[in-house]
Amino acid sequence: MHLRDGEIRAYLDGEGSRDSRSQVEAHLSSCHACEERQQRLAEGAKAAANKLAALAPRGKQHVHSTSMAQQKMRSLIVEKEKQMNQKKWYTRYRPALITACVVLILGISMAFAPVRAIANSFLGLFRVQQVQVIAVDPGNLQGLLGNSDQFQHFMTNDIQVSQQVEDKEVTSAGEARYLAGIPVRLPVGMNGEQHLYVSSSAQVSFTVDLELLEAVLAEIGRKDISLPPEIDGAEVTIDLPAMVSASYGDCAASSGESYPQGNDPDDPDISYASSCTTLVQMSSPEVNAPEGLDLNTLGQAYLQLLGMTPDDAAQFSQTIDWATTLVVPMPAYEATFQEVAVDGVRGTLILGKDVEAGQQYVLVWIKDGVVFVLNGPGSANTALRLADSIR
Amino acid sequence: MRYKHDLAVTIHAVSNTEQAAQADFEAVFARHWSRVYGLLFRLVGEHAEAEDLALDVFWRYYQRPPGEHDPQKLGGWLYRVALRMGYNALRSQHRRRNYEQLAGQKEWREDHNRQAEIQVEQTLQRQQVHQALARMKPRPAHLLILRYAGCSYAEIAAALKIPAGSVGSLLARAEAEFQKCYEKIERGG
Repeated sequence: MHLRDGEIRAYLDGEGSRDSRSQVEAHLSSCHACEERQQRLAEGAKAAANKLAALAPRGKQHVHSTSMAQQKMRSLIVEKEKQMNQKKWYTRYRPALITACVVLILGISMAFAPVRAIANSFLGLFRVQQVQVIAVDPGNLQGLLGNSDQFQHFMTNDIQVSQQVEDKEVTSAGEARYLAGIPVRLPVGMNGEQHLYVSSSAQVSFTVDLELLEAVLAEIGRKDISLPPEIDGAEVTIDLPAMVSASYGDCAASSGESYPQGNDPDDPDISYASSCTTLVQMSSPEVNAPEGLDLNTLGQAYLQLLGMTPDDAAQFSQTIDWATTLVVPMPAYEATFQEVAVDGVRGTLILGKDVEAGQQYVLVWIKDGVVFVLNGPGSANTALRLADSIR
Repeated sequence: MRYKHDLAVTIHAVSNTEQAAQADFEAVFARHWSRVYGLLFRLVGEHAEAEDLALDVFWRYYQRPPGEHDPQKLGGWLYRVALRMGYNALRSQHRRRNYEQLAGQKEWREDHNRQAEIQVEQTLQRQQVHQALARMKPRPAHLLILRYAGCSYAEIAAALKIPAGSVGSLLARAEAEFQKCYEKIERGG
């Protein structure tokens, strides 16, 4: 039996076991036909080797040392990972990453509403682990922003909402729990008729346009505030879970407003009346935001915008964990605030005076991943008593 | 506190794993770089392009290591990726190379300096080999590149996912096919 081409070819390359090589050798010495084939294959191999040798690197084309290549590889990895982070830098944060972009843009929109509206306006936007109230003197920032075409353009054109948030009135806590998917807790012994609403979930998204933000700052005369360039192009999405609002007493919501409990973001004051008490609850929204944002610097810009001096802002910004804290700016002349023990956790109690409604409170706390905001007329005692009655 | 402790342990473990992975990567790089580069240089014929492609091969490995720990299989994976990328580059350059070849011949006619003549001849030969490889089916072309870059049959088998025992016969056939393609190109076909 003759040798196969493959056996001969392997033999020519010195491949195969010693045994198989000896067998091939023995056969070749006794078989003329196979020997001829061996010569033919050897010539073919030589011809191919000669030609393919032209492809081998030589001289300057020689691969430089592996260690140099390794250096290049390290830089390439750093660069590629950076690129990837820029493109794919979404990291899911739960309960909330308040990226400074979100804080900057959405925070402003709620910063200057009267105290009583804070609860509803921010609850519709964030879920947070902590709330930190700061006293600021923003001057006429709200007015300036209101008159800024660039800012209006951003608010109306650049913010995308996946679906219109709809409010549905429900008749029982059970129904609200079913629709919202959270354990709905309600105060006991409230005066006035109870109305329950469930706002549907939604996703809010926007892409940070640094140029536009800088134009806004220029337009309101705050060119002195600098924003970190890496925020440009950052895509921020906020998944807002369903929210349950319970209202008691004389609330304008019952009159059939399309946004009950002052939830109209364009007019947060609309539904408040002096005897209206509301409890809003929702589980943590998820904010998907670029990883690696310099939250400190952004937070600092935000604080400066709110009227802090650059030094104070820098110092204060260091003390805040911007990734999990919602910083609620409170114009110092409108309200006072303090930390209180509520529902077994620490909460923030804000007290303010309303010319028409008298003293108002807003009590905010976060328990088991659910944010609660209780808001109504009365004193700190009223607020804490009601909060204690929640079951 | 217990939670904090667990978290610290987890972070420590993760960072250790990362360090180990980084060390593994560096070792794989050191071991296979020159072969991967050599394969790619043979296919694309240019240092810069070969280096870029080789870095890309290792980047792919870095991003998604194939889960092979056997060095031979791992080498096979890297060479396979390199061959695929290099061969694609070779084929896409094929048309461009035809123009280069014409330009090279013109250059040869115009420049009778012996040194330049040798260089031009080398360039022409390389181009013809590239053309022949580009005309072949990918597997025999890959086989030739691997073999003449110095890979053993076992390495070739790992890279092409073929039995080591069939390398000899496939190689003999590949050489015959290459010869035919090359001669055809020489005849101007």
